[in-house]
Amino acid sequence: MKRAWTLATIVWLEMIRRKDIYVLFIMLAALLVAMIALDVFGLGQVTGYVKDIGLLAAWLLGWILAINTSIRQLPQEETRGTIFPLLAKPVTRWELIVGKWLGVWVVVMTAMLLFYLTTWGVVALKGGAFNPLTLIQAFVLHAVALAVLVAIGIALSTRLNADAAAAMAYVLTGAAFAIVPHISMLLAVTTGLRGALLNALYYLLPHFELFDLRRRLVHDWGAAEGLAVGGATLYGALLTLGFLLLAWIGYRRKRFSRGEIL
Amino acid sequence: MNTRPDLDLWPWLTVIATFAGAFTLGCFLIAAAPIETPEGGGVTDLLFGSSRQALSADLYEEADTFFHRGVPHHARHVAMDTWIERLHDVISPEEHRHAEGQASAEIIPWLKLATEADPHNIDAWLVSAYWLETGLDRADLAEQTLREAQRHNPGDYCVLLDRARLCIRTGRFETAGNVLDAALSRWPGGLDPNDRQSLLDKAELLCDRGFLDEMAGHTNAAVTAFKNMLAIFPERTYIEKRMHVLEAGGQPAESARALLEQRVKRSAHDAGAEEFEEHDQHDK
Repeated sequence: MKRAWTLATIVWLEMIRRKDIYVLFIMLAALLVAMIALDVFGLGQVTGYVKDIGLLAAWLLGWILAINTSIRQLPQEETRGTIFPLLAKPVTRWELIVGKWLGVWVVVMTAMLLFYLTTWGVVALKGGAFNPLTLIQAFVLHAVALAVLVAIGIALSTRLNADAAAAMAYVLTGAAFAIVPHISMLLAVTTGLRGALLNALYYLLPHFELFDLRRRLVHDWGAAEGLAVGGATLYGALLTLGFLLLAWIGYRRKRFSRGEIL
Repeated sequence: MNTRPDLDLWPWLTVIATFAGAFTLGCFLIAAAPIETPEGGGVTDLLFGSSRQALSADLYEEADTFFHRGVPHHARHVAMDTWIERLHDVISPEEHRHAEGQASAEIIPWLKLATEADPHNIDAWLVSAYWLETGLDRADLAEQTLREAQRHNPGDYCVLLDRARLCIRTGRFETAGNVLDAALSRWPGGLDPNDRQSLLDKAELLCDRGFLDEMAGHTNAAVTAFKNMLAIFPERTYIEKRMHVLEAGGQPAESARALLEQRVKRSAHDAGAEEFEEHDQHDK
């Protein structure tokens, strides 16, 4: 685990060197400043739209950041040829995958914390407030969703190049966000082979809606039951582990040829 | 070895930034541009008409979602009973509830954005004025909104009908009469004159005008307005009886002012019932 942690720190250093997070943060801040500038008849304490747009932006930017950073970790090591000295060290491929996942997840989670704090600051500036417990729950579940997203990105990049992995990851997770929550409704009117296929998709694809507490947060429904948050966290942890195992299965016997890479 | 930092995020960021910039610029340009009549069209309508309307409709829909405390009117009707669905119900509640009191103000920004995206979205203007007056008790802002709506949609009689009724509720009967006359002169606007809704609206305009004339002591004008209304809906016997009393030089039992105030009365509850709850009826 210590070696995985060391690999994760290398990922953090690389992410600090790159400017992705700063750019995304500036974009979010610009969006929120535009929201502050929107004059709604001078009505004070109307902050629902700022919360909604701020959190939506945090989800969208978090999604982009998680996929774009996770899918390039392994292919980048391969194209640069740094995979050879890395694997020559006493590092197992499982440790490499876990290290990369951990590094990206922590970076993305830190960026997300920054996004949440910015949104909270802007809302506070406009005279509004979040329910603190719901805010913490929302952030925890968002972090779990990011863990799953990063694991998916890493898993796909074990056998695909960065571009193909990005495309696949966006399609897979986009479908999971947009379609999976509605499969249960479709199942009510679908039978036969289509029904069986939908049923399989229902259980196989990740249910990201289980990590989304924005409705409770924006519309003041109050905090969710601890048991439900715990259940969703456990579900996310199992999904993450599943995708990391898939990544390991895809990567453990992968052969690298220096001639092909360089 | 490639030492140049990877820039694979830039295309996405450029697209998002360009879109955000274009949207913001579009909103400013629309606000600053000379007003075009809906019939007249214009370059922006020609280029962005449909997309602006779609965006405005989405923002209007978002206002409806805020009114229902985050639960969209096309909420999921789940037939399955799995642990996933049970967990989902706890994480994202789907109970049917309405924003009340000050919380109803939360819908206003979405309606404002909807009208900025498409200044010809009459429903968004009217609902916005409705909530400003009833939910926030700000008749002044409601009137300001209706005036703005009228500036953007000079040929629309619905905005004038709402403004006239707002004037009646605030006791400005003479102004209300003038605004009603302007509305009648614009009827049916872009609508089919034989459409039931537009006929209903004309009847409302004539009825309100009749009561205002009665209040002002202009009995003949009131009778004419009521006659015109009965030509559209002859089954409204109450108005017919009232008209006969006026023609005979009598004084109806109920005062015109009381009836008029009753007709134009509004509350936050009515607003919810009349406007966004139309969606609920469709769902049922």
